[in-house]
Amino acid sequence: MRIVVIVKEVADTEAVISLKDGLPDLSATAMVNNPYDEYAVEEALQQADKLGDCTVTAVMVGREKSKENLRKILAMGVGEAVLIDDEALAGADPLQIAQVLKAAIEPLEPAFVLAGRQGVDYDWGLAPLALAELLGWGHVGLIAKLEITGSAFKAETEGDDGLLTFEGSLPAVFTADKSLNEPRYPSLKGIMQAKKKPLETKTLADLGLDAAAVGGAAAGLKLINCNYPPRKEAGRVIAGETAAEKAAALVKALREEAKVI
Amino acid sequence: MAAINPSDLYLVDELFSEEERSVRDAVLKWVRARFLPLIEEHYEAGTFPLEVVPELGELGVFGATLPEEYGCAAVSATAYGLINQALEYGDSGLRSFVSVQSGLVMYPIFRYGSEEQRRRWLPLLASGERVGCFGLTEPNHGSNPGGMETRARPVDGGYLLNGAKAWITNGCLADVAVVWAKVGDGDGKSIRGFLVEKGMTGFATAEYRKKLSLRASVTSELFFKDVFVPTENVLPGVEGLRGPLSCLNQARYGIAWGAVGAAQFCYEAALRYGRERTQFDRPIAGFQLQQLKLSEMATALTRMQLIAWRLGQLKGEDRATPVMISLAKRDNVFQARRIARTAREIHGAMGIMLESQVMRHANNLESVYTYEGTHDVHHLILGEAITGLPAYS
Repeated sequence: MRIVVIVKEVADTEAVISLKDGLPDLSATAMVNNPYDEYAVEEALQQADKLGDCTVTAVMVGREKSKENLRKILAMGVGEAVLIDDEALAGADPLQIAQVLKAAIEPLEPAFVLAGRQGVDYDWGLAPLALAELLGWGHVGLIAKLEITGSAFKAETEGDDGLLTFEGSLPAVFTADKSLNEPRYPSLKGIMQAKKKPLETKTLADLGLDAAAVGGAAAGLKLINCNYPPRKEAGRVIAGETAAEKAAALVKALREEAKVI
Repeated sequence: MAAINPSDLYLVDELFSEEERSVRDAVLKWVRARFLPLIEEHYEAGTFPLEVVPELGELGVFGATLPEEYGCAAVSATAYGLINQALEYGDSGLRSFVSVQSGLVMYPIFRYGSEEQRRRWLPLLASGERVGCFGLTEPNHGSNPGGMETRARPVDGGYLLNGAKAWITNGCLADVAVVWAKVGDGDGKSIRGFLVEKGMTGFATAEYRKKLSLRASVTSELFFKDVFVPTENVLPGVEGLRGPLSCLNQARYGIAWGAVGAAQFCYEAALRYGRERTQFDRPIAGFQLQQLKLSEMATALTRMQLIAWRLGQLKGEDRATPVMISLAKRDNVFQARRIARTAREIHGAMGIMLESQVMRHANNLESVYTYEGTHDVHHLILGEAITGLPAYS
C-alpha cells in the first residue's frame, strides 16, 4: 500500500521578499517546505503507522536545489521521494501543475493522496483539487480528521456552522488543515538517515508530457504584477478629559471622518 | 542589484553541507516554534523551561557528535556548531544547557569514561532523561582552576570528596555531576574526574537567585561533605588539569558558534525594527547614523560566521588547537555583545522591553563574555601563543 504526499517549496515565511520588475525575486531568498504540507506529511506518516505495510512517497515539483528541502521531508520519516524538475515548468499555473502531478502520481497507484490546504506563497490552494478532478477521484479539502477503513474513508472538516463529516471510497485526495495534527520535527538522526533514502528526479519528458502544453509558457493563469501592501498609517489617540468625552470624540470621528457609523 | 540575504552577505550558507544546513534548520525551526514562545515568561521568572528537555532529546541535540551506539546522532563538528548557533538564536541559557550536557558531561564520559560508564550514562543523557552538570570552578578559583581546593581522599572502595564548586550551570537540576578534584595531598597533576550522583550522602546544591543575566538558566553552587564516591564512578581515562581543560575546549567551541546565533537574532531584530519604525515620516533605517550601526553589525556578523565556519572545518579535521578555539570564543562573543547592545540602541525605548528580546540577549552575553574563560584571559592565551611569553603561570 502506498500514500502519496504532495509537497512544495515556498519562500521562508520570515524572509523579506524583494520585487524585481514587479515580480517576486526569490533568487537570494531561503526556501522552506510549505508549512501546510507538513501537516499532510505528518498525517501520511501517522496513517502509514496505523495501516501497516505502507510506503509513504513524497512528490515535489521543484528544481535541483529543492532536493535539500525534499530530504527534510525524508528526514521526518517519509520513505522515498520523487522530484519533478524541468525548466519548462517555471511559471506553470496550478492546473498545469496538477497535470504534471497526475502523470507522476497515477503510476504509483496510491491508496490516497495528501497535500497541504494551500501554499503560503500565493494561497491559491488549487493544484490538489485540480489533481483530484483530473484523476476522477473524490476530494475532501481542509480536513481536520481522517479515518481509513479498508477502501473507505471518513473525513471531518471544520465548517463555519460546525463539524462536517464526509464518507467516501478510496482512492481520494485530501488537503490538510492545521487542526489535523501536530507535525513532528525532523530529528538529527532522521536527517543523517535521509541521505540514504531513494530520491528520484523526473523531467516532463520522463513523465511523457509535452512542455509546450504544461510548461509555464502556455500557462492560462499568469502573475503579472506584485506590490507591497500599503504602509500602515500611524494610529491616532483620541484626546479628552473623561471617558465620556473620549467616547463622544470617538463616535464623532467614526461618523464624520471615517464615515463608518 | 541582485537580491541579498542581509543575514548571509558572504553566502556562507553555501560553505556548509546539505546535511549541516538541514540540522541547523531543524533546530532553528524548533527554537522558533517551541522555545521562543516560552522564553519571556521563564526569563522573567528566572526559571529554565524544563518541559523542553525531552523535546531536545527527541531532536537529538545532546552529545550530537557522539556515535550512534550511545543513542547519539554522529553529526559533524560543523553541524554541532550550527546546533549551538540555532539554540543561542533562542537564548544563551538554552545553548548553555545543551553545551554543558554535551561538551562538559557527555564528552568527558565518552572520552575518559569506562565502557560501563558510557553505557550507563550516555543514552540517558542523549535522550534528556538525565541531566548533567560540570564542576570545575570554585568560589576562590575561577581563572586559575589549578588552584582548586576540592579534594578526594582515597578510602576503601572509593574516595571521600570534600569541597565546593561555584557557578555551575544546571547544578540543582543534575542527576550526575562531573566533578574535578585533587586526589590525596597531590597537586594539579593529581586531578581526577568523579561522577557524583544526585542523592549521594553529603552532596548538596544551592541555586544562585537574583541574576540579571542568563535568567532562564539554572546556576548553582555544589557542596561536598565527606561524599563517598565509589571507584567505579571515577573517570579512568585522564589525570591532571588536561581533563577538564579538554572539556572546556569542547564547550568554548560551541560558544564561538552560539554567539553567531545571538548576534544574528539581534541584528535581524534591529534591521526589522529600523525598517518599520517611522520618524520624521521615514523609516529610521534610512537615517545615516542608524545605517552606520546596521552596517557595522552586518560586517561583524559576517566576520563571526566566517571564523566559526573555518574553525568548524579545522575541528572536523582534528586540527583546531585550544588557541584557535580561544580566539573564536573571545572575539565572537565580544562582537555578539556589541551587536546586541547596538540592537538595543536602535530599538530606542522599546529596546528595554523584554518583548523586544534584544536586551535579554545583551544581558545574557554579559555572562558569556566572562564564562568559559574570561575575555581577558583568552587574550592572554593568544598573547602567550604569539609572543612565547606567558603573562600568568
